[in-house]
Amino acid sequence: MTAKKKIAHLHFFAALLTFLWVTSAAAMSVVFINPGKSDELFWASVSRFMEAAAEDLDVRIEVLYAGRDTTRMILLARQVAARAVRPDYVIAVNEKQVAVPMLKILDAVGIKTFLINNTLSPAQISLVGKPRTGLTHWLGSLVPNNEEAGYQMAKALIATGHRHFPDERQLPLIAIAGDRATAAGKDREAGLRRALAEHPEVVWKQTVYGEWNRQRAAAQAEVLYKRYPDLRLVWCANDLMAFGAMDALRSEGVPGEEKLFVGLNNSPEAMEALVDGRLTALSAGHFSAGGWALVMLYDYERGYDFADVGPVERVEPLLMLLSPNQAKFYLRRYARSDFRSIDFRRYSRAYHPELKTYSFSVESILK
Amino acid sequence: MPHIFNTLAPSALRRLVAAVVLSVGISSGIFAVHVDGDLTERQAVLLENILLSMSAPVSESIWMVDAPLLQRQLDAMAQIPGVAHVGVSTFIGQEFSADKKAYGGQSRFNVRRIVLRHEEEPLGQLEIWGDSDALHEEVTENVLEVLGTLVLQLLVFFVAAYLLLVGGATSDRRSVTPDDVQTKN
Repeated sequence: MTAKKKIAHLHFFAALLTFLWVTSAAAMSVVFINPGKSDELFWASVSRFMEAAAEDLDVRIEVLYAGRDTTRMILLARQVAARAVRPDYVIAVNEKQVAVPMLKILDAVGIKTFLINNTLSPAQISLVGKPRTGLTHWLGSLVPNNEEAGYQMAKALIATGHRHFPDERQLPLIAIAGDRATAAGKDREAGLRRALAEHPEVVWKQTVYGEWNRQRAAAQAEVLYKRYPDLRLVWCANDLMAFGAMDALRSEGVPGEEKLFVGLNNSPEAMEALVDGRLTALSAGHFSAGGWALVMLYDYERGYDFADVGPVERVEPLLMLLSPNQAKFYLRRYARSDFRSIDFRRYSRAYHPELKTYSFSVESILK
Repeated sequence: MPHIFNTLAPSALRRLVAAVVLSVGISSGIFAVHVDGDLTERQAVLLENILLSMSAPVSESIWMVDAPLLQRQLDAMAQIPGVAHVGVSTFIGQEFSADKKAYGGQSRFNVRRIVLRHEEEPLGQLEIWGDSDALHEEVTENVLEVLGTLVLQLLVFFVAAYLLLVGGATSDRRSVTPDDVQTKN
């Protein structure tokens, strides 16, 4: 065999391998059981980000919305498990602590699962064990740094409060947290408490639970403004509740002047509020968790197990305080939740075996 | 003897019946007043117990500004038998209330109030009204029950008395034989 023929054979095998690799990639299918509603900005952007990643990685993705109905989340898991042609992976969220029955249903039929944004609580872990132990097909989880985000938001609020009200020795603060059951909300609240412990000059008045809802937060804020007329700082666990708290001000003040507000999320309205100063600080980025999870599962499918480069239950710094310039950039680039301009392959260890770890951050997509 | 019975019995019976009706009426009235007072007092105790047991969770809902939960608590309280209306007024001007489903716009009755607090801070007032319709129904039921028993007892008594008297008269008549008449003639 001549050298030319040998090279031709090598080319053929390389092409065959590439073809097999590509076709096997296309075969990977993922179902995302989205706990939110399809018209809900945050949860829709989580899906859009995942879809952009799936397109980049040639993964077939299907998004099923539970419409904030926890019973429906379990029902969807049951329906997926009962399919004749099952997906390879299911990505789910431990919203309102209902992931355990979902994981059990999917585990029983051998579907590999992964949790994002809210993972199992320690109490739930004590029941079913850690990933890959009790439920062997539950591969792991990826959650944002909610505690750190709550802390950063509070620190930014307090620092701006000192600058904005230089003559006031004490700064009264209220918090509108999410709910008592969801880990993300509890963690953000824990971050707030950590910041308050560092600032005795900030007088924490009260925390109420707005259930992530704008109208409810508005009604609560209206009462709290009367209860604490000298209030200065309003910490909110998401953007909708911050807007609700602003709505309650009505004609009595301008957000960002008599009272300062912070919130968390990536809605265009929140970005605009940060740019125009109604929001003192905004934390965003957890919409990306699903997309990054897809990168990890894609690598896992190709033999690059994320367990080799870190814990299977990952807490990543997905949430960060945005600057007004970053908010403007986001509005320009991703306002319609179109994330197709992001190159997801550059985060993949299957595409870049030289990567020693994952470094997912929202900062990297805001440049 | 039968002659005397025949002439005296109707008027005596009328008097007797009148006396019985009067005494039953008076005793029923006294009984009704007594039952009404007793049930009103018992309803007041029930209302106070409801206030005492619910003041903590209702206060918590007001403090946490959880209007849906507060409304659910008031709705549940209003459905307790003996309660017609529940209302909360907070010191910053909010009003919440709930009525029994079958409540027909009764006036304030057996009203009880309690000041709601979070720790030492007063938050508002919880007010509860007794269900006067239900109470009057219960009084009527009690009186009718006693009255019914009494009437039944009297009926038995009168029937027995009648049977005794009629039986006595018949035996008296039977004792007057033709021989007696002949003897007397």
